[in-house]
Amino acid sequence: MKEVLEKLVRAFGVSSKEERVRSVIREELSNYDFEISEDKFGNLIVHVPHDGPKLMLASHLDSVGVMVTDIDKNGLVRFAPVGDIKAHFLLGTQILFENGVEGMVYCDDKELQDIKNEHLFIDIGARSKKEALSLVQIGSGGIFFPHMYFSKDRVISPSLDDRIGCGILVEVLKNVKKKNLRFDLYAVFTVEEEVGVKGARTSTYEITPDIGIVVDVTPALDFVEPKRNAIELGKGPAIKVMDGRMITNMEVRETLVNVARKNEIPFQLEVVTTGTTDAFAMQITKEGVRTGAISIPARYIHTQGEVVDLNDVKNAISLLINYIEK
Amino acid sequence: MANIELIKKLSKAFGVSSFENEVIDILREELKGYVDSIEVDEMQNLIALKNFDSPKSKVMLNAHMDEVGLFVKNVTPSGFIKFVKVGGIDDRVLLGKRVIIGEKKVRGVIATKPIHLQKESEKDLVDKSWDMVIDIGAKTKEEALKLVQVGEGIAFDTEFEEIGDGFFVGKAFDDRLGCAIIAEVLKEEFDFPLIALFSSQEETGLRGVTTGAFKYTADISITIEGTVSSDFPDVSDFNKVSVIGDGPVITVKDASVITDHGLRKRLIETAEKFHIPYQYKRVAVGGTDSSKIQVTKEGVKVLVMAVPVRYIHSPVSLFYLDDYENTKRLLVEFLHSLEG
Repeated sequence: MKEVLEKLVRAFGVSSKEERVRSVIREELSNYDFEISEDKFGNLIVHVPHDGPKLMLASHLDSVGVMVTDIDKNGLVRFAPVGDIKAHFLLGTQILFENGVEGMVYCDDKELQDIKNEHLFIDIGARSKKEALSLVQIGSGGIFFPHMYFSKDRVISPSLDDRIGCGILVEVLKNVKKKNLRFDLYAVFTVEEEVGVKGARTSTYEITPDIGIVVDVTPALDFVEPKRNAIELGKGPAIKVMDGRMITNMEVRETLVNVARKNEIPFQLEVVTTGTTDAFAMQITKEGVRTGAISIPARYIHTQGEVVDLNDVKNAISLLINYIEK
Repeated sequence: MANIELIKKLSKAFGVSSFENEVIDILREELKGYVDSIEVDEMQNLIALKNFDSPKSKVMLNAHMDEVGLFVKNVTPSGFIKFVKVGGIDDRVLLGKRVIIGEKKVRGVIATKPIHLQKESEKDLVDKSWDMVIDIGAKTKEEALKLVQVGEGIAFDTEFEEIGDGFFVGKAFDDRLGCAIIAEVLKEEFDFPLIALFSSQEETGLRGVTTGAFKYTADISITIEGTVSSDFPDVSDFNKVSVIGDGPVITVKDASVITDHGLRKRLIETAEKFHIPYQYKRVAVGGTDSSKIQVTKEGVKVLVMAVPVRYIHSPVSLFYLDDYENTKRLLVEFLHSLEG
């Protein structure tokens, strides 16, 4: 898992520019007997045909990042954040652009507490507007520079939202036993989740699943006193009850809980009031889809260093495989 | 040359969100004979088809018909109108403006406590819209209710005219300019199917388009807008969003959508090939119908292009004719590049 995760995180993939993450997944699954296709929006669809209801698993390919909107006369790059990133978490970070150019985020002269995204710029070491425009263009994408560090049980890295989900689906696909499948299985790696859960809308429309399960991250606020939510790192994957935009299907949720209990897989229940995932869009596509979600607890989401406990990842894979198989 | 008469008619038309009928009538009349069919759906979207049965990739052109405005909320015992805003309007631009209300086209003026009666501490404050009233010259509630009904739309009462050389002022350039450009472009011939979606209720949260884009599915879609230009002296260059006179504004990303990178490259190449000036939208603000079109059914590749307009969402906005012409030209040349 570590090896796949590392490949997935190092692949550039800000929203709308997910080609390289798609390639990593295609490559990982190339020796398996799956039907793999890509739709016109860029969603990667892996189909394992089997008798049974249609189950669609989904994780998103894209990460938050930046997109160049203008270059000022000093050759400093002005940008729009892609996805919800707070200015304070961008300031002082290093950015990697899609073509390998690197830059440093700094800000116009302001009191630190007043810093907003529009005060930020990226210095790419250019001496003029002309030089800057030879390095990046309007529309170029950038991501938090993908430094990764593994401790004994945990990983610190940008873009774990949602490469961790992609990694989990890849492991599930590699390890699920076809003869034991309960479902006609689809695993969809979606585009543009961070900018309005977009790929999930169109891919769910195409597939029309009976059941949907999304694998994404949820904030672990276990370092905050008093505890603002119950989600903690290392206490197991979180089975989503509700988030800011949806309440999961009771039947799917209870089945997941029962599978976890039966197989002695640790789990937590997620009840949060902000944020959402592809599951929100999936649930209300066409006539509606029975939708659940498994969330990997993560600290500091949408920063240069998200922290995830690998035991939660292992347990999420095991929960999904036990759910999918007879 | 630009059809100034059409722009004028569209600008003056009453079309507060959900009251788009006058705009529909103008467009119907204008398109007669140039398209194969015109229909108005349940949400009051106007959809025109041209060459629809051709097997080639289908292209949607999209602009919204509605404008920001007000709704009558209730009437005070002394015959003043209380109102709510429809769409994003800065409260500061409301006071002292003339308005037109509802079916009877009743004239009124937006009013507040006169400066003579304000306390010193109130003079630096701007009233909120809910503290304002509209005076329609009625003495009592009964008299007022003979002229206007609760729920009727209220539009700004603004003349359309040229100022300086090639600058035009009027209301609702967001997005009647888009409507005018598409109406003009539909008079040209292309060898692929065209779906023109003139949408309703964009300003209330992209509502018309949600159903309007569903019936006829396009492969690519181009939304034409009137977009923010904040090219004032005290605004730093990278915050200007767009600049009057610099040509069509091409969106990479706004708050609602990232446009298709491949199609956008082709659009830029077209502009360069025909020496049409263009600019990028410099700040990722605002949202457009394109974000809903993009995720319709299996998905649609989208582009957004706009005429830069100063003072949008206010009673009077301003555009420069060359920008309009260049936006139209770029759209036409881009569409021709899709032929064959």
